[in-house]
Amino acid sequence: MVEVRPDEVSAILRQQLSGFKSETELEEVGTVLQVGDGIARVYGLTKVQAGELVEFETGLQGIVLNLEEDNVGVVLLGASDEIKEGDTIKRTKRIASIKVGEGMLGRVVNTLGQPIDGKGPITGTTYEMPLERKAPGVIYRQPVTEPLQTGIKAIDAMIPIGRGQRELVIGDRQTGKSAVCIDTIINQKEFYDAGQPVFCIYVAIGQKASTVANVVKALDEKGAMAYTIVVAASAADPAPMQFYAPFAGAAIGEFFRDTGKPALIVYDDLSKQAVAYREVSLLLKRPPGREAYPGDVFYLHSRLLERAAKINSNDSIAQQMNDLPESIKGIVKGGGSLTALPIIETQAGDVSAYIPTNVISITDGQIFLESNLFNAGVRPAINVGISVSRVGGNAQIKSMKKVAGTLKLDQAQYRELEAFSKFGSDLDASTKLVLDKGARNVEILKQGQFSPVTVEKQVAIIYAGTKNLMRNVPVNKVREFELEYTTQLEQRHPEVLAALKAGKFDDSLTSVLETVAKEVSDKY
Amino acid sequence: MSEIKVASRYAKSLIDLAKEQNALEQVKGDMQLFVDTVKASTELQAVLKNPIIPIGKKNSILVAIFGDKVHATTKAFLKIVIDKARAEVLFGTAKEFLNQYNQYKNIVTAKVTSATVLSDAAKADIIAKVKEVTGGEVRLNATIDESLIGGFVLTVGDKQFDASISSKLNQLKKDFAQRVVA
Repeated sequence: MVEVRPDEVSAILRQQLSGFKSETELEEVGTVLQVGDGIARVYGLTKVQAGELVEFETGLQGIVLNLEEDNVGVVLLGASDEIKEGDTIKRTKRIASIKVGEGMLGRVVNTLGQPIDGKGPITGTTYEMPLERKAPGVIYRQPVTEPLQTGIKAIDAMIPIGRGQRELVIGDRQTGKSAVCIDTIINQKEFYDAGQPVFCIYVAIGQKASTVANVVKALDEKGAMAYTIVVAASAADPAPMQFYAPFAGAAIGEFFRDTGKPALIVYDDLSKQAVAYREVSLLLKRPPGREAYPGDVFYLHSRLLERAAKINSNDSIAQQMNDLPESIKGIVKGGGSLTALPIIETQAGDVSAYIPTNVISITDGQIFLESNLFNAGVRPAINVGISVSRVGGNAQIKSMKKVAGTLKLDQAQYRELEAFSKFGSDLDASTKLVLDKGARNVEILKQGQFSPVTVEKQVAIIYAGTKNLMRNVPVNKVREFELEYTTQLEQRHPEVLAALKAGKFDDSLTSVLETVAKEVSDKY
Repeated sequence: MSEIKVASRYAKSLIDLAKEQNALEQVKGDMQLFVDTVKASTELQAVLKNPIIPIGKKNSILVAIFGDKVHATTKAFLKIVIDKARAEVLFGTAKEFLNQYNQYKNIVTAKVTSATVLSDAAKADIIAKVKEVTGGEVRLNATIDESLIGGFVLTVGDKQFDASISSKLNQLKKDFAQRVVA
């Protein structure tokens, strides 16, 4: 039998205790006047700063949000049951911040950066990043020029997203907003496998914990958790945790951005965050404005989304960036980016409500998802007519730009003529051509969930669509054709696909595409 | 406006008035008397706070209690505050007055809580130390709390020096818990 000697035990205990410092410091304290609804009003704390982290005797933390003449308003980051009137509350002299490091990859954390997936503490070096931080100034930025491949044909072809861009995903409930973003995260696996990972952060705000668990499971199964961090503030968490969650996500994203790496952050969703912020603001007795949101709800979103940026590739310029946290000063590199995909849920397609208009005006474009398209079987249910990307065009790879140039116009024409076709009357040949091509293009742009398509295959199939190489394929066989066509290319002409991926596009390549398309379409 | 704000405004004007009339010490004594009296009597507190009792009645009650014992300024002050239907802030005003008086005279109140009764020498030491830091005259307010186990907690304004055994143990507990996990 293995024995453990008592003196061994005490030696270990002594060693564990040895580092304990018992210095007493002068603390600044206040007393709780009243507590309720997740808010505490505190007397004292005269020198406290707005946004500072404060600590109660029980270890519960709070953030100072209101500084008034005779009291301080503190939002509690946890349950208020154990807080009583008269309790003392201490300053920590730290602005609210979280510890960020590469050890967080693959983990699910809460707003405070603490792991909540039961896999033990975060390992590796961590750096302290403030939740609220000013966005990089003009001189530290660079135009968006690199593509961020979403793997979704409709988006990469017609609404391209660049690294450092902010592209809003907006639509009613149950239209596949989250699915688009999760597919985008899954598509980054290709880059992770190639050794140039785009680090992904998925921020779940006010969602059911079971939904978050499903997302994590889906990402895990697709091997996407290796480069992804999930920040979760579920519906059961206090409102301050919910409205700070995107800021925690942004702080993590900034760590990658400022160390010269590309990162992608999904805020799912900002309408719930605005609701959580409204709750806290009303409880703090800030005056309500339109739809009872506080006056600074625009600033809440604009300051968050401004933090998405493409950083100047020059290291020495990047190192002088404004408001760099002390902790990462030594490791700052240029050329990093933070791409943001905020999600907004509309009510019955009403995009002119307060929060949707605000976020539309902040972002660099939007992807509209519509429930009638979704119900008609067009999935992803993207309305390409009103979806735009204001900066992504520069970021598209050359081959895609050439191929997709006419696609958006074709589809607009198709939709206009589609109404006519409903009458079933005699159509002239040119109208019929537009209709046939359009119907096949709609089929091409359909795509299943969790099945992102690589950019070279996208170019190949969209080329077939825009050049009307599938005119002999029946509309309901288009997906079959697509599969056959791309497999043929993959097996017989991998060099063509590689060239397309590199952005090359010339007659020798297109002739290969055309022959293969002809061969495959002849089967139908 | 919150009660504290109203009280501090009234208190400030009363201090200014008392200074002008060279009656600061008397008025301060009156306010101390008022605070002690109100603290001792829950009925009087209820009367002051009750909006149903007519203003005239409140006035006559206060005159009957404090009539000859207080300075003319205090008397006039009590009357005007009650006439303005602010009787509920009187207690707060009086406390705030004492606060502001202490500030004006540079008197600091230090609260020390200890597990055992402090010796006079220890108290003198604490007073000397607080005086050294704040530079004002120090009033020491000592209380006993056995749950501290040992040591003491010194509070001056919103600064606190916690040298008690119980808080050390608490800190050790937190530290230890974190280290075992890490």
